[in-house]
Amino acid sequence: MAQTASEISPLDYTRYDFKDPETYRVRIPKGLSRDVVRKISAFKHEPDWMLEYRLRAYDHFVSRPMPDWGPDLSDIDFDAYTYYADPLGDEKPKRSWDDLPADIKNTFEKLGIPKAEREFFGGVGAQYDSGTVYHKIREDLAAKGVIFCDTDTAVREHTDIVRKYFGKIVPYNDNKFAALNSAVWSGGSFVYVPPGVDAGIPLQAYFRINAKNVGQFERTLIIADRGAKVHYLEGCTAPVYSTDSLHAAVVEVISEPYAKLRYTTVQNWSKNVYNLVTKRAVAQEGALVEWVDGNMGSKVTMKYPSVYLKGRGARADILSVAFASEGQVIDSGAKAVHSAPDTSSKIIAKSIAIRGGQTSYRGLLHVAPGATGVKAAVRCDALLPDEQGRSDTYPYNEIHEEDATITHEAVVGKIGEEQIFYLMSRGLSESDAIHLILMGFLAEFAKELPVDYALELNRLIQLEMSGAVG
Amino acid sequence: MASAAPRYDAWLSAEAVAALSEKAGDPSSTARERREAHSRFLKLPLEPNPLYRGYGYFSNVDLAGLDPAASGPAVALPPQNEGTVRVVHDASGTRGFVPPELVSAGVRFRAFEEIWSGGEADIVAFLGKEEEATDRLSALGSALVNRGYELELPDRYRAPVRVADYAVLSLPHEAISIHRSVRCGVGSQLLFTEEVFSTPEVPEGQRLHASSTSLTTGADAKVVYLGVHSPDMRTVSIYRRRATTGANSRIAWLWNGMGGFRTKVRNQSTLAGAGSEVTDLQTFFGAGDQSFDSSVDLTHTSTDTHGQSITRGVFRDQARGMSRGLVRIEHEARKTVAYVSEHAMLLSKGSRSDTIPILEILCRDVKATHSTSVAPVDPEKVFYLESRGFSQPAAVRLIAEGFLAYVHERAPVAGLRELLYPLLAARWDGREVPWTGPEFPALPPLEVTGTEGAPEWRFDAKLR
Repeated sequence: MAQTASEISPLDYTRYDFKDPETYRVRIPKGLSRDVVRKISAFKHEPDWMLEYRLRAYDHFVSRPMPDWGPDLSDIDFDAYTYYADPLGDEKPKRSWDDLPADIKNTFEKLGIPKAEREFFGGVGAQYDSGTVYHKIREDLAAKGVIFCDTDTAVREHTDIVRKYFGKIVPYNDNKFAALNSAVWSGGSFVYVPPGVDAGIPLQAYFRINAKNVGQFERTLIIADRGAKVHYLEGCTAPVYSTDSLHAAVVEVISEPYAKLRYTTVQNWSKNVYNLVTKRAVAQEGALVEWVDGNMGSKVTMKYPSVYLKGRGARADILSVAFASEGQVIDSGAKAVHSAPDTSSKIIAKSIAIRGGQTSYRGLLHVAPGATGVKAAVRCDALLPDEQGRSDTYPYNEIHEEDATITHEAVVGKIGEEQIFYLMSRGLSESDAIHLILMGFLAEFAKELPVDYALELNRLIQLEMSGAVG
Repeated sequence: MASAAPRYDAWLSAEAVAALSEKAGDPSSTARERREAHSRFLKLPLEPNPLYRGYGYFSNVDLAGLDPAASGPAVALPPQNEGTVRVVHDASGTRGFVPPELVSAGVRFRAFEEIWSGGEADIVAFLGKEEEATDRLSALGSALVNRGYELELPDRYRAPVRVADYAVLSLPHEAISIHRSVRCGVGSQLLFTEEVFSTPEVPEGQRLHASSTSLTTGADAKVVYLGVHSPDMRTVSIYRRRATTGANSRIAWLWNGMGGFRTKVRNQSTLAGAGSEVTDLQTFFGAGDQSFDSSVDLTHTSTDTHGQSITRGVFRDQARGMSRGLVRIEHEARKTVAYVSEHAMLLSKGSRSDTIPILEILCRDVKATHSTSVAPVDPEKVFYLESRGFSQPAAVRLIAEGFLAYVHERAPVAGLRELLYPLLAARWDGREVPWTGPEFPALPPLEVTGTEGAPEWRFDAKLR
């Protein structure tokens, strides 16, 4: 017997669903205009070039129509959001945990951030609505020249590096939401790993939307210089409000020749967040970029991590997972653009849609003329464990070079009753059997996560499935 | 050649549409619909679906001065296959020949002129309640309908009915737009061939060939619809096919693109009858500056339906292929099995292939898969054949032919690969195959798979 929707309990968000009182040093009133863009830039004491960039992006945002090819975004009212709310205002992000205001410290304690820092990570950043509140990097990494700070600080203190890369991977006119981010961005992580340096343990950031109707527009820029190695990890949450929030980040990642870079995200926004994110990486000669991208939360997600393989022998590995439940539309996927010879890419996408949730895989595989000897493989699998889910697959393959080797496969199906039966015959309850099958389906993803994230994933799915069957 | 922005108003003027209306004897409502379709043609985008925007190979198309009312002498024909319905669309219009035994068995056929002389109600019924075109080319096809027929196979007529349908282009600025309305009664069997050619004298300018087929099948009906597209290299073609299946009926679409300059194919099948099956098979061989742009939509609305779309293309020189497959499984369509496969082989630098195999699944009790690949000729296979005495070009050719034969082997037609081989061989050698009149080697009557005495419609023959 399969489970029915009414028997499945909703996901327990209580761990994330707490709200701090909204006390901000700086909060710009709702709505978006050139004036708001100017104010944001002024609060941040930015150089003129950044203000000009923001204004050009704003003009493009206004003139660009909403995308009409994906999920329904017609409920988004851009004037209903606050575009800048900063708990610290002019103060610099704290480097000692004890210096943080008590309510914010409490928030991230609940989310486990300092604990994670102590136990596992080489550096930690935390963003609360528009402002970065905490940033710290281990001293040994800093001594090797590794920079890990918020992007606002980087604009001031590492201007040359920022100007070299900022907006070069994702130009402001790339899409409507990249334009929006470019106009009103605030916070985000900046990581620079110098040539030949191996950052060793992961760097982590955590993003949280706390206030109602606040948009979060972090801007992340990660550069692994020649031969460097780094693993960057981020998580996101928000409490549940009755009205929607908007998260429109831009992430630019550069893997210089022979660098190795891994970017892991586990997105667990509450189910009222529009998560419209542009994530793109460039891999130069012999470089490797790995995206590990998990999408569990949000109301609507549109996110297609991309790798532009620009140097000979560059490689891309993208692992994308989507889990959509009631009221959620997760439109995710991956893009690999091969513009150099002997480049290779591998995309694995897995999705589960239950209780009326919708998942879509939307992917692009492009082999440009001149990119000879390309090898690319895409696999996307979807599971529909109950009667209400919907799963779509939209893969685009553009092959303009004759010796490319491209394969693409997708399978959509339900959980085999014989699989459940087999596990039950071995003594598992039905819900445990389904949980085990789902975890097995996602195993390729889970094993790439740090252990605490993997445990979290396991717990989330268990919660989603608990009470599924009597 | 056309510039980047074609002057669509120069392709087809309002006067040319009015002249067609007058020549065809349109009643006022039909004339009005043509005018409206013409104005939509001028306004609508080539590709309305946001999922496909930015795709579609229709560059360098210049259909300036289309003359849909043009007429000329009828082309000479090869001998008629015995017992076969023959329909010819050429400069003289649409001509049909139905063997008397089929007429007395209840097979109904009416050609374009007869339908038009029947008046408005007949024309409306013939054209069907089509949804308004949302793209430029469909609107063009609707504005220009000037050939066609309706064909009805009676219920429970158990012998297979064979139809040989030829379109032959012969005039400069020709615009042949054919509409077919085909109804297959309960338990009937149809073996249909549609062949498109042109006469040897190829004019300077481009010409238009539009082919629209609307097919409905009654319960338990079986249909094979084989298309061979081999006109001259200046022909621009628009194919549109729609099918709705009855319970347990089976349709095999099989389309082979070999000739033509730009060809756009859109096949839409709705699996509305429980237990019905649609197999949509397509092959393309493109050389020179040819392009093939194909969309296959399979919509499953009923239970226990099987749909598959298998497309394979071989592209040489600057040829291009675009394959879109969309399988949609509605909430009610339990136990659906769907498969989309789009594979291409690129033989030259400059050739290219784009594939978009889409699945939209609203029902969980299904098995839906797709696969695509693009790959060069495997050098190990070439080496193997060379070691057996084949020259390198012969080895590549053999491998490419085998690659396309994979599709032919999945059709319920006996010896299909051999039937199509002469055309493919000519195209491989860079030759066109013009319509030569009485000696023209048109396809022989189709035979279904199985043994001679015991024919068996082995849909997806290779897999069973």
